[in-house]
Amino acid sequence: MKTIKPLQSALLTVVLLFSFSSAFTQNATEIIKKADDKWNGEKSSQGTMTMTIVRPTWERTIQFKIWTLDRDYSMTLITAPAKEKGQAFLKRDTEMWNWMPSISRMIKLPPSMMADGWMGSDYTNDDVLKESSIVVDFNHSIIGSETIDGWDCWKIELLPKEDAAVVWGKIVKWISKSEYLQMKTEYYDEDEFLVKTELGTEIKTMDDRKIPSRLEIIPADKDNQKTIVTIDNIKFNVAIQNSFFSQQNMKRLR
Amino acid sequence: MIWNISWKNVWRNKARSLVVVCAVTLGTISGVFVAGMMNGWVDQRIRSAVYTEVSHIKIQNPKYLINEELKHTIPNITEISDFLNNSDKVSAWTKHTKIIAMASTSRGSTALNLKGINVDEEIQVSNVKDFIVDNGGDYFESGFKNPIVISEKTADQLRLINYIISQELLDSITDLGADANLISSLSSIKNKRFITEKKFKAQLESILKPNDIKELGAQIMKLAKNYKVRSKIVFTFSGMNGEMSYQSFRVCGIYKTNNAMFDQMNAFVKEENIATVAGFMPNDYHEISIILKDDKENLTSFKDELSSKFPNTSVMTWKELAPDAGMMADFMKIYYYIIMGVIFFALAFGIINTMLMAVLERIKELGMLMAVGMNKKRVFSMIMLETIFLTLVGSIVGMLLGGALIVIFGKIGMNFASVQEGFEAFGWSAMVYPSIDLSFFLGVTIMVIIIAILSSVIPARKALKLNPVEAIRTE
Repeated sequence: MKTIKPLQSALLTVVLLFSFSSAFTQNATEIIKKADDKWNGEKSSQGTMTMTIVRPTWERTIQFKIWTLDRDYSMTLITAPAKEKGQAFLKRDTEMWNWMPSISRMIKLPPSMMADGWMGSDYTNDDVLKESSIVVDFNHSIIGSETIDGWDCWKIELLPKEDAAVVWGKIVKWISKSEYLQMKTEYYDEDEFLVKTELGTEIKTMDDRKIPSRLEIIPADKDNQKTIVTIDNIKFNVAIQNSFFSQQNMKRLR
Repeated sequence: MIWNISWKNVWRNKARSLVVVCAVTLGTISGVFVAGMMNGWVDQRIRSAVYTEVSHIKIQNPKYLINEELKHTIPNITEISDFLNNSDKVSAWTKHTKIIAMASTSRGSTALNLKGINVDEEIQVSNVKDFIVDNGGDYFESGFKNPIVISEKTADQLRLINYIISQELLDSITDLGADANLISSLSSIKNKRFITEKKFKAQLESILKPNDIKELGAQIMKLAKNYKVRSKIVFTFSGMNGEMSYQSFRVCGIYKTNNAMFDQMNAFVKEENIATVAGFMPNDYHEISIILKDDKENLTSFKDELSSKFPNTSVMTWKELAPDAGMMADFMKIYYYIIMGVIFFALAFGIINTMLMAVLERIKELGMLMAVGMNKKRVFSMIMLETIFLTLVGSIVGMLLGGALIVIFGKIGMNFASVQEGFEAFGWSAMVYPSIDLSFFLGVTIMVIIIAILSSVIPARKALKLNPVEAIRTE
C-alpha cells in the first residue's frame, strides 16, 4: 500500500488540477453568459429609460420607451424632448430602421451610419446591433476578484477570437459574484490603451430582480464627455407578439 | 541677296538689336518653361489617373453607375474575359469586386470603397504598389490572414498612425545636431503614445522652443510617425442579399498617392477574402480595368469595339472616368500656345517700336535704294526679313535655354511642398517634373515667324510710303 500512495496522490493532483483549470475557464464563459442573459436572455421586456448626453459645452436629455423580444427584436420610441418625440427605431436581427415622423420617412440604417452615436450619444448604432457578441466572439478568463461599490466581483478578461469582427483589443468586465451584475466594463484598443469605460451603478430591484439602474459610458480620451442611461422602470417577460416589431407598428406607437 | 542684307542690317545697331533679342529670349524662356511645367504636371495627372486610379478602359454594369448596389455585377463575364485574353491591343487587364463599406477601429471610422483584387493581375494594371510609404508595410507580401492595403489618409481617420518619441528618434536627432536641452525636453515624453498629429504637435509646441521646432520640427514629426501595420479593421457592409455583414482585416500596407480624393476612398483586399462574406459567386465582378498597348491610337476604337460587342455593359475610357484629366489632356496643348501668344503679343509692341526706329533712322538710305531701282516688294521683304531675324534669334536662344531648363528640372523635379496639401486635394502632385513635346518648339517657331511678319507690317508700310526724292534729301 505504501508504494502506491505517492502515485495515487500524484494522480489525484493531476486530476484535480485538470478539473480545476477546465472548471475555471468554463466558469468565466459561464459567468459572462449569465451576466449577458441577465440583460438579453429574457423572453421579452418593456421599459422606459432616460438618457443624458454630457458634452463639454452642452448637455441634453432624451427619454424613450423600449420593447424587446428574444435577442433579435427590439423597438425604441423617443418620448421626449418634443423635437424628437415620435421617432422610432426598429431592430430585427442584424438590420435597423429609423422612422422619422417629422419628415414622414422610414430609413434603413446603412452601414455608413453604424459607427455613429445613437441619437448623438456615446452609444453607437453598432453597439445596439451586435450586443450578443460578448459571449460568442471572445475567449474569457477570470483574472481576479475585486470589490466595487460593496459588491464582490469577478474580474474577467475578454480577448477577441482571431477572426471575430470586433474592434476592441481587449475587454475587462467586473461581474458581481451574486446576481451576475455587470458593474464595470473597460474597452481597450489593440495596443491595450483604454478607449472607454462603462459603469453600472445604483443597483435596484426592478420587476423581480436586481439590476444596475444607471449606466454610464465614459470615453477615455475626451474630457467632460459621457452618456448616462437611467432605467426608470422595466418589466420582464411581458406578453408581446413578434408582429409588434414591424415597420407599420413603428408609425403607430405611442 | 535680300536675306544677306537683312541679316547684316540687324547687327548695324548692335545695342538696340540686342535689347530686343534679350527681351524675346526672356519671354520665350518663361513661356517655354511655364508650358513645360504645366505639361509635366498634366502628364503626371494623366499618368496617375490612368495607372493609379482608373486604367485606360473600364467595363461596368450600366445599372451599377446609377445605383452602386452589389447585385449589379458585369454580365457575360466569361465572354468578355475570352475576348480580352485574345485581343492583341490589350496589354493587361483585371477584375475587381467593389463594396462600399464602413471601416471601423476602436477609435475611428470612415466609409471606403473596398476593392477585391487579384494581386498578380492588379500589379500589371495599377501602380498603387509603388506608393507604399516608408515603414508602411508592403503590398500583400506578408503572409497573414485577411490582409488589407489602405491609404495614409484612411489610416489617419482610423487612428492607425501614432506618434512616439523613441530612443532611435533621439539618437538620430542628436546626429542631426540637436543640443542637449532639446534632447532632454524630448526625453520627457519618451515612449508616450499620441494618437493624433494634432495632439503630438501641441505637446511638441509646449515643450520645445520655437527655434527648435522651426529647425527640427519636421524631422521629429517624420521620425516619430509610427504606422500601426497589422492593426485590425472591422468592415460593416450590406452583402449580396442585402443583409448587414461584418468582416475583419489586418493592415498589410499603407499607401499614399498624389490624389487625396482617391486615397480617401479606396482600400484593397484580396478578392477571396471578401467573396464569401459578401456572398459573391465566382463570376461576380463589378468592374474590369484594361490597360492598352497603344492608348493614343486604340483608345476610342477599342472602346467602340467593346461597346458594340457587349452592348449590355458600360464601357468608359479614362477621359470619361477622370474628366478633369481628360479635359486637361485635350485642352492643355491649346493653352500652351495661348500663353506663348500672350507673351509674344506683348513683345510685338517692342519689336514694332524697334523696327520703326530702324526704318526712320535709315530714311535716306531707303530713299537711295528705291532711287536706284529697288522695287517696293523687295523693300518690304527686306524689312520683313529683318524683323523675322531679329525675333527668331531671340526666340531660338530662348527655346534652347528654356528647353535646357526643362531638361534640368525634369531630372531633379520642382518641389511645391509648401502648398502640397492644396495641390493633392485636386489630385495634382506637389513634385513637378517639367517635360515638353518637341513639336511644341516647332509650333513656337512658326508662331514667332507669324508674329514677326505681323509686326513688320507697320514699319514696312512706313518705308514704302517714302518718296525717294524727298527721302534722299533728308539729313
